[in-house]
This record gives sequence, structure tokens and C-alpha cells, in this order.
Amino acid sequence: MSQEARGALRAFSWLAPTDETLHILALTTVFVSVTVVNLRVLGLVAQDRPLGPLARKLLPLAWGALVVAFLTGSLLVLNRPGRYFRSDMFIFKVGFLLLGVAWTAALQIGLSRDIGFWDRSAGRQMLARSGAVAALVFWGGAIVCGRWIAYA
Amino acid sequence: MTLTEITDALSQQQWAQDIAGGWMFPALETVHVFSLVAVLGSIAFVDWRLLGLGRRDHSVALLSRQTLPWTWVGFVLAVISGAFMFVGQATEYSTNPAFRLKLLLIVAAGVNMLAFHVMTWKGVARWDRHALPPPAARVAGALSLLFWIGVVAAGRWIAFTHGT
Repeated sequence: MSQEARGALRAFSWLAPTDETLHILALTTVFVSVTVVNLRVLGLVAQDRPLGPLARKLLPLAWGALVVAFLTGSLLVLNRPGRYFRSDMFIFKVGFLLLGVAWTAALQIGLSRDIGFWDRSAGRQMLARSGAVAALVFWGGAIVCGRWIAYA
Repeated sequence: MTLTEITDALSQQQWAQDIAGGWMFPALETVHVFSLVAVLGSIAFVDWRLLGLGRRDHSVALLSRQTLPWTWVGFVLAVISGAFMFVGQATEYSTNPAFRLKLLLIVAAGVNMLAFHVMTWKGVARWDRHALPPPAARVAGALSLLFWIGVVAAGRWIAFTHGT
């Protein structure tokens, strides 16, 4: 590496930790908002508030933060593409994310049609609860695999 | 005995080296991520409300009761997982400026929380459902968010900074 290139890298040495910090803040926002919604579907938190209004408040926050997580994450991948595209853990992480996104979108589409959509029948309740448990595993799995990319 | 002698002796223990070298380290990091998410997430709900944002009609005391167990469980797990991550390279960490700043910010967050509970929280019954809590509560909420985000940032910076 040339002297100039090293100098330029040093000048931007704050970029990588800043990007990682923003990625953690974004993933925290995504994970906490979807987890509160999914735990509410299961009746485990925020029992004082119905699912509909809670999800309407938190899911847009989750989508916004997901965009930030995607952009900051893309920068990490661009910085070392080989490390990510050759890693099984990265593939698993993306898979878990897509599954988590799919369930969250399904949940929200139901609620946007009808705020009580998931409570209208025993079958819908069962489907929503199963989806919530699966989604907790998906989003949690994305975090676990994300952390493990550096080691596998 | 100096601090460096203590941390050197600690890092040379066989069990500390086992933890630092194998699968246990990423496992501890994973626990650390989940616990920081719990701490930061649960605290942010309360701080946001203290700043007069979010659910402005919600009881602050109720929100605090709902989130506090998550904060404490997360914090205890973060300290335990963090301590085990520390032992394998104890000297490197304890002399790392970013690590020291992180500990300092955790102490600052703790002092802020303590001061808030001892002083402002006493009168919570009066402003529990106020859309905009009193200035002291807003300041405590803003400082808390700043300190905890600072903790995350300093933690991330450890890997990019060197100790002696």
C-alpha cells in the first residue's frame, strides 16, 4: 500500500467504528420494536395496550431503522466483500432477516386492513402466535449469525 | 501490586486463555449484544417518554415498572459476559483508552439514574401523566440516552484503539 493510501485510511479511521456503532443502534431499534410487538401478540408485555395501536406505533420505527441497518451493513460488506460472501454465517443471517421481514410485513398488512385482524378468529390467533414465536427466532438468529460472521 | 501486575496474572490463567481463544469468546459476544439491546432498548422507552416524546398520555411510573426488569436482567448479563470477555486480555483492555471511557460512561449513566431517582422521581405522582415531564426529568432522560449511546460507541471503538 502506498504512503498516500495509508494516510488516507488513517484520516478515515473513525469511519468503521462509527458505521458499526450506527449499525448496533439501528439493529437495537429494529429488534426491540419487533420483539415488543411479537411479545404483545403472545400477550406477554404491554397488556394495558391493544396490539393494533402498539404495532402501528412501533412497526414504522422498525422499518425505518431496518433501512439504516441495511445501509450501515452494506458499508461493512463493501469494505470487505470476500469476508461476507464467502461466509455461511452471512448467508444464514440474510435468510433469517428475509424470514423476519416476511412475517413482520404479513402481520402489518393484516393490521392495516383491519386493526383487529389477528383477533377475529381462533385460527388467526393461533397463526399470529405461531408467527410471533417464529419471528423471535428469526430476528434473534440474524443477530447470532451476524456476530458469528467474524469467526466462521 | 500494580493494576498491570494483577491484570497480567489474570490473563495468564489457563481458563482465561481458553475463554479468549475458542468458541466461548464469540458466544460471550453474542450474549453481550443481546444484553446491550435489552438495556439500551428498555432505557430508551423511558428516556423518550421523559423527553415528552412517544406516548405522551402514558403513565411514566407504569412504563418504568414495565421496562425496568428488562434493563436489570440485560445489565447483569452484560456485566457477566463483559467480565469474561475482559479476562483473556485484561491488561490490553484495562489500558485501552476507549475501554476506560466506556467504564466512565457507564458510571456517569449510573450516577445520572441515581440522582434522578433520589431527587426527581420523588415527585413523580405529580407529573406521572403530564405530556411534558418537568425540566429535571427531561434533562435526566437526555443525559441517559447520550451516556448509553456513548457506551455503545466507546465499546465499538475498543477494537480500533490500542492499550499499552
